[in-house]
Amino acid sequence: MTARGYWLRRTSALVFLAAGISATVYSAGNIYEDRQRVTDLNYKTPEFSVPKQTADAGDSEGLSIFTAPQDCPDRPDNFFKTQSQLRAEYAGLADSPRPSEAPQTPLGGGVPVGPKNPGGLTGVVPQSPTNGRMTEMDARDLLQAAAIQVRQTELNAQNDSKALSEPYVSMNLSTMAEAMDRSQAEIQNQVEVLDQARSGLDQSEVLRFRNTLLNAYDKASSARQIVAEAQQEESRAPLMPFRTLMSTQKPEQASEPSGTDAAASNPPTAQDVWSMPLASIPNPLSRSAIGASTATGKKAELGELFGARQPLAKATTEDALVNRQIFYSGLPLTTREKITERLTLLERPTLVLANGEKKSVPLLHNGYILGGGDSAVDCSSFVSSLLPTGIRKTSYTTLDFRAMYQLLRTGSLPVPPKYRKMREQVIRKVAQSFEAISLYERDPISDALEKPRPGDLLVFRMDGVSFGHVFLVQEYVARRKQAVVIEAAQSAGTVRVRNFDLSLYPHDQKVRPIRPGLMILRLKQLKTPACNAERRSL
Amino acid sequence: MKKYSAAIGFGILLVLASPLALTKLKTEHERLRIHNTFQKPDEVVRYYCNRDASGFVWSGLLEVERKAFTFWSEVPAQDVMFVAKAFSVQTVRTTFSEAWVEVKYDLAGYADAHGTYVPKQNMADISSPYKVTFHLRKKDSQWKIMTPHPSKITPVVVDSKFPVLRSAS
Repeated sequence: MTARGYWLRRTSALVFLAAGISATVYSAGNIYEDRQRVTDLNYKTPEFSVPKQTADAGDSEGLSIFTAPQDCPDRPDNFFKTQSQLRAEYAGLADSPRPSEAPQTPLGGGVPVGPKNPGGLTGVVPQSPTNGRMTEMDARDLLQAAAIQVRQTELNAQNDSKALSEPYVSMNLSTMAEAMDRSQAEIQNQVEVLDQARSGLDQSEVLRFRNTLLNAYDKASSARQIVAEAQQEESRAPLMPFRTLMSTQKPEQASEPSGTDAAASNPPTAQDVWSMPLASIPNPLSRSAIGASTATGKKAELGELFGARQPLAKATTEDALVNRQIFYSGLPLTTREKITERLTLLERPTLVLANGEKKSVPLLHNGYILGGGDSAVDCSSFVSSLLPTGIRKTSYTTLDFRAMYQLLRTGSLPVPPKYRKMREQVIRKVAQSFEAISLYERDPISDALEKPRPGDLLVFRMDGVSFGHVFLVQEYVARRKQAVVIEAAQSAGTVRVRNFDLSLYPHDQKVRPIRPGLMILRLKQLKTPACNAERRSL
Repeated sequence: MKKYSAAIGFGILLVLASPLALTKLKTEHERLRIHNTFQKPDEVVRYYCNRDASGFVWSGLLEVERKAFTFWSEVPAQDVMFVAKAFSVQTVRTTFSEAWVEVKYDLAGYADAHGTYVPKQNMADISSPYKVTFHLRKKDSQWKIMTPHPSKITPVVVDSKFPVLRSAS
């Protein structure tokens, strides 16, 4: 071997060794970064605790490395972003549950919950998915996210109801009387402020909250009257044995073992309810002086009035909201301030009164406020928050959805509205992510009318009318021309699932034309099976 | 000493708070009733229509009312409403346990609560006067509404009782 050959071999060996070391360090760094990105978002920083799937946008439980090609629509748009960009983007998800706390759906949990303020993320150019129709998997993801939002709203309302009814547990009648008086006075003040409001809250919402407050006032007034009568009842029978006073059971029945028919037909005593595990107690009020289980006569009436026997599951009803309003207003100021920190469904809009004065009013709600808010959504912001990350960078109104539909159908944006240039660009770009489906035109091949499909956005907006609504279709029953939809509804004041008739005509009519003003926006394909196949789990 | 001051303070607070609490709320709305004490079927319908007129059906009928005054299994939930100038209630037919009560509305338009208002002239498919017939049944000596079904009844508010709409229109 010549000296030249020896040095040549030695140099090339060193070069290969150096290249090998660099490649190893580089790939290890990449893997670490991927792990870091996922773990940081999920577990290390509590303020960004998002479900695992949000971080890796995958279906698998483990950590994933995406080997999908660059043009794969499934590739999450956070893949090449820095930590600070990701933090900014997920800031709105700060209150989302941790993966372990995320509510489970029949299809499996872990789907990201939409940002708390969907309209807060603006100015990001949306990514448009590739062409093709939305797959079943995409529809499932959308519906899962919507179902989780519905469930989250219910849970929030339940927690609020629980927090507000707790101070009333074991409250005696005289304290209850004071609370009801305080509640009426406080509600009266709030109604007066709403009556003088000129701006700060949509007119329709002023009207709706005013009615809720008036109902609360009337109900508190009825409760006060019942409390007074109950106090009279008590004063008439001061020597009744304690057991009888606190129970609907007769003394001779009190010793009967539970589980018998007699025990089943009688409601549990106050002592029994106290000893029950919390999960089996339907409502904290059932343990209070106004609870039906501890009540006799007027107390039972009071319990019935506040739905002490109703399970907390009905916390998003108007009744539950009225109860929460009464309980909230009835608390002494210091207790109220403490409890306010525990409440989720509470907005404090600053209203401008007729005299120019500004006042902040605490408004309890069920998850819906027109125009949205820090703790509430409206129909369009609810649907916007469910859209894929690439296109949910801003909140869209029903007017925007209608403009997108018309752009796709006719090739031009309708006027009015007159959009600002930047907004118009966003609308034009986001429109390309949808397919516009008309419910009134027949398919040229099958000659059948188009039907809504699960995951479709069903938009209702009439020409020349300033209101509209948007639903997410969960299911469609063609025979009844009825869609099962998920919506944030003003009249219900919450996010809910309900049946929506596509025809205004009764079901027994032979001919049932589709009601006017309906449009369908169907998301184009977001994922392909190939994308999932190319993802490998560690 | 501190105890006395606290007691005096609390006493003053109670004295100041009690007349405040006793002050009645000045509104023109039909007050919420938790018991159905009406003797006649038209009284039940009149109560429902008066509550509806102030927007309480549109904003969400309470369970306590639903149970007391109807046989419905759900409450009406619609985003839109008719706006009427006035309405009249008339009993059409009554038997021992059933009654039919007709309500005639003098409609002014069709609206939502966002200030959108479609005047009567543009409502081609709505008859004038707009009539709704309530079918009631007597159970346990209480008259309660059976039909129309809550999904088929549109809230009708009265212009003069709906302050925000009045200012919007």
